[in-house]
Amino acid sequence: MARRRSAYNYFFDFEPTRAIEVKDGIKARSQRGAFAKNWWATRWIQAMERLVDSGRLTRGRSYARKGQVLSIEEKKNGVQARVQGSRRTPYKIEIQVAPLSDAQWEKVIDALAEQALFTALLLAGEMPQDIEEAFKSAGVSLFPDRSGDLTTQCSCPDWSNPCKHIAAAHYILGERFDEDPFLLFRLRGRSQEQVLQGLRQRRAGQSITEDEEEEPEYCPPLDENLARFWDLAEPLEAFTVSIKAPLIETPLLKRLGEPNFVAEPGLQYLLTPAYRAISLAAIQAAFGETENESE
Amino acid sequence: MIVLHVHWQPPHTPVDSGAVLFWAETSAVGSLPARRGRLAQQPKPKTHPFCASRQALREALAARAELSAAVESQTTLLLPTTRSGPQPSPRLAHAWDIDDPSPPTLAPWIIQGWRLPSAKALPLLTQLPALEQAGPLATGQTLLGDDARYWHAAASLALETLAAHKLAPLLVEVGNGSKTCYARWLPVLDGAKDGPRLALLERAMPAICRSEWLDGQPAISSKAILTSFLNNICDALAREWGRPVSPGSRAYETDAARHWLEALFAPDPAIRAAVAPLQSLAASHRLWLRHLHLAGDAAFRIAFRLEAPAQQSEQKHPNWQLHYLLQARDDPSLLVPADTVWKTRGSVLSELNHRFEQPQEKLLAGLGYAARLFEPIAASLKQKRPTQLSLETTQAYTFLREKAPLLEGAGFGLLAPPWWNQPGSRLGVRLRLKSKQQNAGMISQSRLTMENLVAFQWELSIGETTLTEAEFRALAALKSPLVEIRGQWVQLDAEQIEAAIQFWQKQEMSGEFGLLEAMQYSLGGRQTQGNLPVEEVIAEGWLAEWLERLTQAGQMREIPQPAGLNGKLRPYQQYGFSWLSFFRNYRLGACLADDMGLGKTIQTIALLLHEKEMLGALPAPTLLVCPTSVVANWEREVARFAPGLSAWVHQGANRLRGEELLQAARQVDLVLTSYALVRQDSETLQSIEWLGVILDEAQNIKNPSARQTQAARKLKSDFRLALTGTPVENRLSELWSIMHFLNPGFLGARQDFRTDFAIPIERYNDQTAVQRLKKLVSPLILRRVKSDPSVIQDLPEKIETKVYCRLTEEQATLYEAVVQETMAKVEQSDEEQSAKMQRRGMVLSMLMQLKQICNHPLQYLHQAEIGKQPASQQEVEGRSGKLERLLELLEEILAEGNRALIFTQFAEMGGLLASYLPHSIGGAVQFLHGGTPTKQRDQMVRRFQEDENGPSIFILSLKAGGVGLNLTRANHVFHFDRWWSPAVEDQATDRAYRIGQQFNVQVHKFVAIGTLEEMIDEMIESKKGLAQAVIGGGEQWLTELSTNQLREIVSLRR
Repeated sequence: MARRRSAYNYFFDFEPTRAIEVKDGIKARSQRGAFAKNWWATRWIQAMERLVDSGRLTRGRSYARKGQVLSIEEKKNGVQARVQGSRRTPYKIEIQVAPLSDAQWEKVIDALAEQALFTALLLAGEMPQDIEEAFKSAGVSLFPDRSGDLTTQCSCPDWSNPCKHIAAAHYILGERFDEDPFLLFRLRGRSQEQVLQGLRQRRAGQSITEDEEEEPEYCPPLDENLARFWDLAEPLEAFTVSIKAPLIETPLLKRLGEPNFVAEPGLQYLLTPAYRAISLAAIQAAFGETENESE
Repeated sequence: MIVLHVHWQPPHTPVDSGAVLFWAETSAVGSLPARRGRLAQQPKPKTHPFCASRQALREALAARAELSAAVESQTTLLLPTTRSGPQPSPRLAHAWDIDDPSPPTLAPWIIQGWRLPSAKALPLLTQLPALEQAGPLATGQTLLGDDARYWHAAASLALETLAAHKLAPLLVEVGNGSKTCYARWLPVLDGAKDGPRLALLERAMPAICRSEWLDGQPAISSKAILTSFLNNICDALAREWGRPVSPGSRAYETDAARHWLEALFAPDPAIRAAVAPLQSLAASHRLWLRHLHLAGDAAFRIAFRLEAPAQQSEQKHPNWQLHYLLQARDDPSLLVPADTVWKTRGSVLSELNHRFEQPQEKLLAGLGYAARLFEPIAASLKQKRPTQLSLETTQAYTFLREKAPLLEGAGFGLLAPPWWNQPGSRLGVRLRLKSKQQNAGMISQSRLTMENLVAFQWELSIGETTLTEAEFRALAALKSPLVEIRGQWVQLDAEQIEAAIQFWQKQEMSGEFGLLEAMQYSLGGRQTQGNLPVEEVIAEGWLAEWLERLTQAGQMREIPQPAGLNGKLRPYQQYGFSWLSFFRNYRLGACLADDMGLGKTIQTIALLLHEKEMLGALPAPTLLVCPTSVVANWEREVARFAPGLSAWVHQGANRLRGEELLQAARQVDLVLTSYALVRQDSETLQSIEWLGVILDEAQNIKNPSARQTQAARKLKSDFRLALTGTPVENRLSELWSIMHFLNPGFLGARQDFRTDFAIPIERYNDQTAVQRLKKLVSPLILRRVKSDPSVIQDLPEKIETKVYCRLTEEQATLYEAVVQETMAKVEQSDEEQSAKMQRRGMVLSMLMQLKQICNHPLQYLHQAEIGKQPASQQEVEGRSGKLERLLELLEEILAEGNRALIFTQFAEMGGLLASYLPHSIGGAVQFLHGGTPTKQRDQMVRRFQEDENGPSIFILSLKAGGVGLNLTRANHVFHFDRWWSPAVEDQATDRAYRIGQQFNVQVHKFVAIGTLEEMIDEMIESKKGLAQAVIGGGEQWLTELSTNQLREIVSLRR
């Protein structure tokens, strides 16, 4: 869309910078609408959105969706990202979250131990809805909500912080939270395992030994019993199968839940026809006859 | 004969999905290459000496599979080896001299075969059991090695997994640093039954499956091999079968996930996407997969038990309790309540020798995950130590109906209330049966038409309760899926209610049908009626008693044997005859399947005779159909046991046709004919209203679509009977065909029978189907075997039967020519006194020639002399009645795993049998004659007596094998030709029938019909005319006979 300019304002007007197109960047999975699915990721994105003006937010969102974020890596207490802007060299971004002290963590874990739900959901890979209550009762917050809890930096020339590059990285980070709620814990200074360990100690009243090494698989030598070399080592009469379609379709996809990394209309929708076809073909193979068999 | 082996070859690269190598051992290798010396310490791979050629293997497999995708392939396996070479696998019956006492060691052997990629190998793996079901007489019988059985079982598990959607789409990263990513389908086997099944498969794997030669590296564990098989075959099949409906075009965005989805269905599993997005996708995918295993660990799983409210309470909302438990994987009855888990101190809970590690945490993790599938659980987790959850009735129903299968699928244990999904807690139908007649006797005496004999009435039921339509509508109006009726919880889901409404509208609620249908319902042959399960069949009055008698073995009322029967029925025969008579009276088709030698013939003859004696005269003739080779045998048996029954043999080129045949049939009680003629003369035979149609050796109609089967089915008669000596219950298509002849419709349509019974039983060892089928057919089949306790005390230890064999046209022609020619010369010599010595020579020579002709024309023509090129199969086949009969009998004997001795006076005949039998019966045979060296002779005896897999058939020349040997492993003895001296024959028979014999020995003495063999046999039996002693001396006495006497004995009576 060509704009008509007078010679007069030619000096003042400028073309907005245009980011260099990236082919293999990390594209946001959400291509429209809200960025996050889970409440904790939404909280994280909202926290950032409050700090940034709407223009930068829009550009940041579009950067994230176009794949301008080249990489994103977890560091101690923070995240480092590289975002492709209009300059040849990608901008470096750092997002840091202030860690909680050990004493603060102990209080948080005390509060978490009060309800089985916290441990259960954390173990099952979910962030419990009420987890903020537990943090609040310890006098702290899980999400960065005080000034100084969250510091951000970008190597771009924009004077505003957060800039659109930070916003883009933030959005991508939000999607990471979606699938890994413990990223928040880590940014606050404890891993999932450390938190669970603390909960375990409170339940058991003692420290727990680490998982034992898995025993190496026993593999009998081939010549253990040459007299029965060709034979089944145990009769298979008791072995039976029941080849039929499941009562409930795609039980495994239901068990795993809809992943956030497959765009609309979603994995279950996309794969269900294939699961049905596979099931049908298997039943056909099991009970069908070859032409030769029909005598 | 070949023994088929299946070898799984895991993939070597990530883009490969492994392959299955089919190979076989063959017994068709004459002798093994001689090997001497010691086994080398580190032997080099050598070509396996009795590995079947690819061509032979292709022929064996082609019947069952499409082999166009197969490629020629070879591999090296470590096999138990002695100085003689690799040891044959146990099922390979061979006749080689492997007499090596040294213990075997493993050595590498190169085997060749056909290699099929995973997905293409599956159809063949699935159908393996069918390869064995071809009868043993099929040339080149195929047996399955245990490894083949093993992979068949594993392949059916893969099919179950694929059918049940138990696959996870995987993204696999391979390599360090710059990783390549692959899209794979992972079979997830963590259901309640999967753990024990996988463990069983791991333990059961034969060592041969792990024996691929890895040049010094240790063998791979059975777990690794099994896992690689299941993973690869599921992946390959899902990829191929899902491809036509893969999401390819339906994914909107071109991103890494789209490439991943495409690669799940592409032949090449590598994901073609840029590195950064792919790694981000891989990371996300890894996190997504965390939820795969949360229901427990290797030792236990989290389980739920739903308990119904204790009492039908007045309270409006009864509380159901969902209890949380730990359940041991290997012992599902070991349950630990959550309460105990919370009280546990330390990280290990010990209960009855089971260790549960970190039980609290795992319980919590499982509950946290289960809460995603069934939300009410989350509420219970607000407590510090949750142990259970209260549910309302509708919630309980949702849990049982929808959530429990999901949780079970996710690996949780589920303990539903005992009534859930059980008969009695669902809507069902009940059938009441009542006879229209007052008593059974009336029916059997009047022989009325039986078509509308039983009055039936349908009822809608829940458990014990019968529901009227009004009661049912009131229940349905409650709109509650779980209802308590008289203290019993029942399910009332929408589909059942719909089915019940349909039932009221469509079902004829009462009426009449035949006995056969009544039997079908009461024996569980029809399990549903209008989409509702048939929960109960109640018979009243005499019908109840009748059905009871039918289903309980040994309950038939015995009737005395017919007065006109020449001979005494043994007790089990009398029972069998009474049994036949019972079914005949109710016009139900029955199958007498007694073991060979137990006297099916005499029981059948008794049945006909009984009928005749009851009625005075038979209203119509009975048709007996049997193989051509036994028609004459039947004729003689009828004449012997029932002189009062008149029989007509319909056989031969000069047989009667059309009206003439009708005339002849009307005159007699019994018409004997062959299967071939039932087909050829079908028009005439089908036009007769027979009293009965009896099929002997009923396995001849095993092929339902064969023309002779169809012709047999079209014969019209008042009753039908099938006789067979083979265990018909184990050969399912045969069973269907015979039952369909006996009682059309009883086993349902052929296709339904295949899907309901034949395939589940033959391919998947489905025990429920086995039990159902057994219940259904066993009342109609009577099978006694010689080891049966009800039979054994009645049975003499040695049973002798004459096997009457017809001559072929060629044999008869040769026979008559020899008789004519010699007798002319003899008459001439009678006139010259001086030629007495010459006459004697001529007579003896004639006797010899006639015996040879009775055996086989080839023997007479001296084309079978030892040392000559063995005769080709075509030269041997179809030329001797004795040989034909021998094959039929051997088939039956081998099918039951028995062993036989075959005696002949002629080494030449023995040689002929020894070269011909292995091809036609597909098993190994050994032959002992006068020229066999002592060492070899001892080996043969030892192999026959001691080697589990040695030859089942031992041919002996009477002179070389008639004395001294101990061959008690045989329980059948054949005398292919006759010595005319009972003493000599008995002595030979006693090789098998002597100390150490644990079974009854059956002796088959072959007699060529109408020849001197039959004449002399009759003379010996009657002991008239000539004293036993005279005959006992051999054949000399024959030369002393007058020319007329001689002519009488040797002339062929046609």
